Amino acid sequence: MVKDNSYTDKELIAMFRNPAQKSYAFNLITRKYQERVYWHIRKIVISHDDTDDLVQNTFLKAWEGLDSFREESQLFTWLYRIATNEALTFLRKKRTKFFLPLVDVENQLSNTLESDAYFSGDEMQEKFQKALLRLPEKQRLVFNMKYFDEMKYEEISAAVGTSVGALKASYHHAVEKIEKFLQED
Amino acid sequence: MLNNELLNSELKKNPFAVPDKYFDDLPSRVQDKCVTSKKSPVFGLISKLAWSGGIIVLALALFLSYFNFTSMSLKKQNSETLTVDKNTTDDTEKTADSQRNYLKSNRDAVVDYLALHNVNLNDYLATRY
Repeated sequence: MVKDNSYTDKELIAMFRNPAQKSYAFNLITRKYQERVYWHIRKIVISHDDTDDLVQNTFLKAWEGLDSFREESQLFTWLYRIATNEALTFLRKKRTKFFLPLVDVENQLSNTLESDAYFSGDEMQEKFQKALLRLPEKQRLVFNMKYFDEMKYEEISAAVGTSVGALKASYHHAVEKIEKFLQED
Repeated sequence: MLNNELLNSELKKNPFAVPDKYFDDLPSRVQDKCVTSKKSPVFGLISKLAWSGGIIVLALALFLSYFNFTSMSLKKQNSETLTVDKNTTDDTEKTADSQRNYLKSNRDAVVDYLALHNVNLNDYLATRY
């Protein structure tokens, strides 16, 4: 018997396209990528409850779109792209719903961080996360993917649809700002 | 280039946590959501019919407005033609009246002229009117 996690993405997609194995294959896909998708979204929206909703929406969209997935990119990159869109759309809706300027949403996220029962970091990590929340949305996204997820620029580029050159510049600016923020406080 | 603080391995550690067994339950919750969100075939058919109906109504509305526009343009063109024709008829009648009046008031001169050219007045009038 082949172990669940030994299937390649190609095999999982082929199984998903077989009606008899569709649900089983999707369960395996969810198990394989749920943690990476969860942590990617969590670092953007901070709150566990919001992340939980967005993770489920991400996989629901994957379920609906996987039949037409053309395999030009990796399955994980495709999931990352859906997750990123879900998270950024969520923050934009929040901004529009409450007519809040950018800085207020980031303040709100910072308050969520302080009151979050599922934040287990120490004082230094909290300070660091708050510094990240002061970055522009795109720079924070790129910084998270490069610094925490240790993704290659090419992979980030495929996930967010930005050129490698622009990503390098974003990351460089993000690092400079974080260093400045950490020295300020 | 990352400075010492960012190179600090403690900062790279994930400071967030999740409820117990969260990742054990997530796949089944995702699966439930996918299954419940599945649209029934009847719903799909209704949705398709609604779209088709909408497109047909839109096409009909476009056709009718085009048809109305075309017939209005034709009507306008016809009324302009009739006006021109009426004007032409009026002009012809005016010319005939003035000729009749001329003949009435200069009857003798006309008779003399026709006699000089050996033209019978009755024949001439028959050919003209």
